[in-house]
Amino acid sequence: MRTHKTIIAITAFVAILSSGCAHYREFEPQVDPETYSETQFLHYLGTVPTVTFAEGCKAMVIAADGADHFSSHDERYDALRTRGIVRDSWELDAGQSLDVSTMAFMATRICNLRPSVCSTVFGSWGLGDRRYAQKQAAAADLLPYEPSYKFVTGGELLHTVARIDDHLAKRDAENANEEINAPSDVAAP
Amino acid sequence: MRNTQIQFIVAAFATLTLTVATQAQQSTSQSSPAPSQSSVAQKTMTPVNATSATLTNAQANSTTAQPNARLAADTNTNASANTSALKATVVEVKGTVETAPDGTDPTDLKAWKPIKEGDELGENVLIRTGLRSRCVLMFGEEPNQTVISVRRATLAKISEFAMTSTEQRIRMGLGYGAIRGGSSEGTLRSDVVINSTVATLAKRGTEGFELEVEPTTGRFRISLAQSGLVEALSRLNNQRRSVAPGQYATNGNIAKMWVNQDIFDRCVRFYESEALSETDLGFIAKETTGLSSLGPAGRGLFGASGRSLGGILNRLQNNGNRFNPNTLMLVSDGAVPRPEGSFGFGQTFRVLTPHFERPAARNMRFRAPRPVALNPSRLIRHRSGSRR
Repeated sequence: MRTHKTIIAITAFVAILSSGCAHYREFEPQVDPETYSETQFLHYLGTVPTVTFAEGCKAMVIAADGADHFSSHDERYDALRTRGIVRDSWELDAGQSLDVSTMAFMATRICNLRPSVCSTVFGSWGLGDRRYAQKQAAAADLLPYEPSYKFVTGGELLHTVARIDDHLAKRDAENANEEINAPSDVAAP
Repeated sequence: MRNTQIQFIVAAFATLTLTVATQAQQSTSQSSPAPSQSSVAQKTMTPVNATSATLTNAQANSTTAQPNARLAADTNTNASANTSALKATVVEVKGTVETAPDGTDPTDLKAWKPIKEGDELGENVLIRTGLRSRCVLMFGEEPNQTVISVRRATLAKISEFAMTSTEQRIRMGLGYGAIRGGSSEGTLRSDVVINSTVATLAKRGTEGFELEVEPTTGRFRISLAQSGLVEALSRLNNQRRSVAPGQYATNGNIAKMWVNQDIFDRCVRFYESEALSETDLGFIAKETTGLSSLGPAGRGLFGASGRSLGGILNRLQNNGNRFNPNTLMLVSDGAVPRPEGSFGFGQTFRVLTPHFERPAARNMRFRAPRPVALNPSRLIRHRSGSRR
């Protein structure tokens, strides 16, 4: 009888924990964000207290490509999953709140930051992949270091997207400089 | 009977709580509301109103004449009667850059109009940019030019652009995002202030300044790249700092900027071991703090306060600590009492005592330390490769 009670208590505790992690946003925006253009959507992010996983995916698509060519969250998710920016193992729904570590993982993949040894070994299994990515992102100044389970605000997502834009612009500038300084270009008349 | 007493006590407590709460509410409504953290957070949640709220706070602070709000108050109170409003010229546009009248919602679908190169923007105009976008505004003409660059994902506002016979006044509002700029001072004094809800940047003849504000969180960064001096004011805690070229101030380090940046001010010695005596080499090997110096002819060590360490050690000996004057060996447990205050067991003393005597061996006869650990030449040879 005592064993049954223990099992029931552990099951209830795990259920509470799992349901607590799956947090859904209670805030309802007045206008559907899907109707916004890229620029409007970015400035909409600056006004919302929390963002959903779907909004995070849309912001990351804009950050990666500069424009959003998709019409639904499923299309964006598939595109991001094929590029390794999101993972199925996370099992995140569109309406769930976006946490810091998930945002950091997407940011590091878009910026193509070189992963650490621990991130390569353990992160490839999905063990701590987002937490390692958060450390990387903080080191690259993409976002400040915060608890990984914290839900991000719209402003934080907008700031990270802007940082990604800075990072990509810097990388493009460096690549352009390499091309100019290439021996073939220098030797050309 | 007991239930009646309990009910009476509960009712009395509820009445008392209600009375106190009512009085507190009345006192709060009567006094002027202070800009608390929550109110600032609410302002940052609504960026369009935030820029106007900044100006409102500036006016309020100017009336109360708070010294810490002087920078914000400069925005509106120093307007001269001889000023003439001018327009800024858009000299570069990249990506999506749009403008709208002041007060427009940043997510409005119709009010925002794209701007192009050559357009002129007056006062009280909002500017918003998208990703991979920026616009460069030119204020004034040669030789008094100020260039402001509105960076990516930014909501900004031209609050004021006016010119007097002596100065050129530019006031920008920043809801979120980043603004960079620089100005050349010719015949007129250039007075540039960039306001946001969390920080204010005031230019003092600079080139390459930047203010970056993160929406809804209160984080900011004020930096200066090339030359001049920038004054940074955190509006959340009213801290003020000067930012020199190569420095930056954020909401985290603005109160302790020197502490975070003094790591670059460490003492680094350059010496040639051939020119030094054994005493000098020993001193260099042991003294790594830069807080003490060697006396003439290697006699005596002096701390940063200029006092002889031998005198300090003698004083410690008189205080009951065990001290062997022949080897400069200090044996002490705990902090060293100093007249300027007890700051713990300093490193200067620690290097003088390579072997602490254990508590169990206090009553034992003093034993000299091992020569290997105290041989400075070996330490030098190990660190610099070859000494001779």
